Amino acid sequence: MQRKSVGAMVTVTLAAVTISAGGSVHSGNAHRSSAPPTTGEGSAVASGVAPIDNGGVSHWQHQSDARAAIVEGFISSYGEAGGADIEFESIPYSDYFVRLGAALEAGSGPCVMQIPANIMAEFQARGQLAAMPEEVMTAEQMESTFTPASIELLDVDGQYFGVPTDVQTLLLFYNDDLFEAAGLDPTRDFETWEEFREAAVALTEMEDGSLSQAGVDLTSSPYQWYYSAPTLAHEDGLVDDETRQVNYASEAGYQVWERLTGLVTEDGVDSPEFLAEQSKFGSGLAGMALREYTFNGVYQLTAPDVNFSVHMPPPVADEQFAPVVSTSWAYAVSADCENQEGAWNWIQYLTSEDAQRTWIAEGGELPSRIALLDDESLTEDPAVAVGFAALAEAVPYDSIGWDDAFAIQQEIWDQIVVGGTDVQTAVDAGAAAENELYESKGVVE
Amino acid sequence: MSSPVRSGGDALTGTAPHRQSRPRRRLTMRTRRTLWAYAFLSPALLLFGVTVIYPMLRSLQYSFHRWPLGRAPKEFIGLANYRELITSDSAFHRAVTNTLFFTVATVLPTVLLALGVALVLNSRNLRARGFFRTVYFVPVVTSLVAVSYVWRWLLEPSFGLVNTALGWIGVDGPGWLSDPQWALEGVVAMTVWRDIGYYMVIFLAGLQTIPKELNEAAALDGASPWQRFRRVTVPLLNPSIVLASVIGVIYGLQLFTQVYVMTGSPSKLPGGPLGSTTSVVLFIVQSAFRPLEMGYPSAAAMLLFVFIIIVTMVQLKLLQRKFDY
Amino acid sequence: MTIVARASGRLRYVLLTAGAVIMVAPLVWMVLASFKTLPEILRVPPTLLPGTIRLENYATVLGDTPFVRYFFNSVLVSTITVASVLFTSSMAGYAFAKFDFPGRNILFVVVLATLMIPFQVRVIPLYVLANDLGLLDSYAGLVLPGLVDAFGIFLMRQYLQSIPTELLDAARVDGASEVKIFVKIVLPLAKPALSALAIFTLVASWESFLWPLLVVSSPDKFTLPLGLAQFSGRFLTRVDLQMAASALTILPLLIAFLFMQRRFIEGMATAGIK
Repeated sequence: MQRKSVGAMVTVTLAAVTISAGGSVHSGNAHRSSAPPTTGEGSAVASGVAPIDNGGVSHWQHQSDARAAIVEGFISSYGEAGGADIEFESIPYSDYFVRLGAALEAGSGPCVMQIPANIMAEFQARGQLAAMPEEVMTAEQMESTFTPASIELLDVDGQYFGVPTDVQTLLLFYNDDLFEAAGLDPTRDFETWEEFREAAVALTEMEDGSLSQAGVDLTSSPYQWYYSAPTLAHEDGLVDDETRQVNYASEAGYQVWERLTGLVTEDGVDSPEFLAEQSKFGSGLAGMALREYTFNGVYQLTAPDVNFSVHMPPPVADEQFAPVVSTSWAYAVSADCENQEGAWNWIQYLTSEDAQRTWIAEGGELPSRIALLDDESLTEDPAVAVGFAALAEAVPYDSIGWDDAFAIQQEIWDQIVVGGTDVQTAVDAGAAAENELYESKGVVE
Repeated sequence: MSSPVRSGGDALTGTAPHRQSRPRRRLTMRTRRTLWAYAFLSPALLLFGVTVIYPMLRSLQYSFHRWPLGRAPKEFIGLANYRELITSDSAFHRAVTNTLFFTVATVLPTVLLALGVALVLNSRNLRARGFFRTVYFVPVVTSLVAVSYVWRWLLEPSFGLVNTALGWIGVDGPGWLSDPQWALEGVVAMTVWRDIGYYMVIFLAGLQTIPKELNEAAALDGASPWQRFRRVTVPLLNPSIVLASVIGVIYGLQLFTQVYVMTGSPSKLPGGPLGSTTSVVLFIVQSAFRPLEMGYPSAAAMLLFVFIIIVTMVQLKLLQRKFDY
Repeated sequence: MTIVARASGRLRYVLLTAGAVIMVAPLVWMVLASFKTLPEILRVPPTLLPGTIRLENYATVLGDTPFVRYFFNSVLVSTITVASVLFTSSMAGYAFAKFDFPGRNILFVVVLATLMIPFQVRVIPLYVLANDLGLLDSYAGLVLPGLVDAFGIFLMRQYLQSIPTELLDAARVDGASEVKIFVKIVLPLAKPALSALAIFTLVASWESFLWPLLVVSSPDKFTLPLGLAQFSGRFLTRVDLQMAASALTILPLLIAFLFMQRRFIEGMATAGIK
């Protein structure tokens, strides 16, 4: 009876043990290496600081095959160069904050953590972060080494708490074949909103009364256009520097929201019910899409049939203060960390110039180091060149929140596009909610 | 342990004469039974104490505080969380109505369909019984990742099979997961599909307790199949029916995973368009892990808990029947 | 009469088969997808059959990830969990079903109540406790929350109620000890319920994700769901590999079920109870 089933399980277990003992892959050391190689080995011979300590350093970041492989490579070379033992955990993105939250509460969190730049101030306000010591880098050194966009959100009162990583800009992707089919020139950037809107309409196709090709894919990316456009429409970005309240409940903000939602509600360029579950652009069923720079690599893997090119996004507001928005994460050191010196050393290694070359070449990232922006050897690929050019003029998406802020902005969009609410009402409601959110975080001065 | 001697003691065991002459033994018979009961219960109770009761009490504690996860200081705020949830959090209220709708809409059809399937599979002269049993159980074991992927495709408004099939019979299919009016129904459909096999297993096990002779005897007495079903099967199946509905409601009210996998994606936060699929537990999880704070979600969890207890007690009272064998 | 009987007999098969197709379709799709390339899976409109049957996904899953190790861990954790749940549930269910003792009803409600707090709420205090006890990243910590299940107790209680008390009392009169009664009489009669419970517990334990995610840090202790999660990234999800891994993950469960579902019919011998 149940003895038999237990027996069956024991047999299976023994068999599994025998098999796994024979051919164990990647076991033994404390590194998490379950990433199948996709874009090449993490062949980092990153130079940088000479590491001195022997204590362990734990490091958590969110999972991506390419980036995990890169970190693994760095861990080996760091160890060979005499650096600390790194305990690396690559956590699936959707569970990242659950894991982090639980660990912070128990005090069992990592020494080095990757957090979005947007919530660095919040973490600091909660006392979770260790300030960057002067010996590692002074504020002046930070500001002369890294681009302003990548470090704007990383300082609190002039003191830096993290080093930038995973820089992305939001760029416009064209489906070149669909452009040509619609009689449009896929080599040009759009110079005005109206030009762009007309192209979007031209690229839209209907069949039997419903959408069969979206002019612009407006709904399937982690960072949405309706985050970045309001940021660009205001001088301070999304959040007023002094009052720490959002800017977008303004004439400029309303215009941006009206234009973006108008593409759906008035021009019918996209629909939430059209291809709700798949990437429209990746399936070749959208003329354009606003995407993070890293999709250059993602599409090559998932949509090899799509002939695409990368461009600067069109201006959405009548007056834009920058052409492009950038987003970034940061490596920060936990206040709970016992080996803070080791942690900072490791971070310096990870963000050194050589390391960044690897991140750029193999990880789909953009540089945060000013020195690399001018390096032409990196920009032979035209898509990469566009990314770099965009970065030079980018401003950071600066909301003070992450999923909580995204939820509010998604609600604004859904209220207008799906719920039929008028733009101003929805935007005002969202702005009020977001201001309330910021206040509750205690980062409002 | 000085319980008075009770004449009659345990009505079930006739006390043998020689026992009456040893009053001490009779005194402790009931106590012995109680002790044995607790002995059988103790491993479970001990483990519950550690893994459930203790965390529950901690959650209760959190609910009276602002409890940021990590190093930030915790602050006692009394009933403030509860007040806000009950009086002013419309997202919470919406989550409650969503969850109630979902529970009723899934438990009823699932239990009925599962009962039907179990009865058919239990009937005489059915071949390939084992095959069908396994097939109906397959959705329960198929990984949720794969299930949600397929179901999201099935419900896809423009290309999905469901709307295409509806189109064949002239019905204009709704936007399903993209439509605030229909998203929850989509989650319900997937859940019913998945859970039928689960409850089928419960009923199959329960049907085994009904000796075939009873049904045969009733048939010989001239009872029709429907009468046999009503008078013999259903009453004797009562324990399984109680189990299925009580468990179904308890799990239904704690809806989370299906919503999370059906409505969440890298580009869209879960909870369905305009909060139409946000369940209470999803609300709790989002209230906990976005701001990294436990006080507010714990209060919501306590409210949910109280509600489930009440509903369960009512159900047990209404449904449970004791039978003598 | 016979025609009606035969027609309804055939109708049964028709209905059952229609239902079966619906039940199995996603699984079929999943297996077919496991042979496709990633672009093929993502293609719109979706294809059913793969262009060519390629085993690369399986090769990658088995070769480049410690899949066998994950499998072993899942088997280990699930075995312990199932054994513990069967043990505690049958004993506790028996106590609730066949013993009348003070506090029984309240205690049963308390036990049921443990099902009414979602795990996501218990998880933070439980995690902190596990950390304080030094159980993080250990097999003991992995199995801890799953060792006892109120659903199991409920299920066994419902089922064991149908065992005639006279049977047990007769044994008591004959001088059998409580333990002997439990092991020799109750457990054998409880086979169908125990098998059902075993399968439910196995499935739940096999797919358990949140707790292993929090507790485990070293890859050599990953269970299968944790391994599977590595295939999802923020921008890119390797659906092709996910499908292959899922197919491999389901196999043991299906086999276990096929194995155990025979127990459901073995129930009470017709001569048995009455």
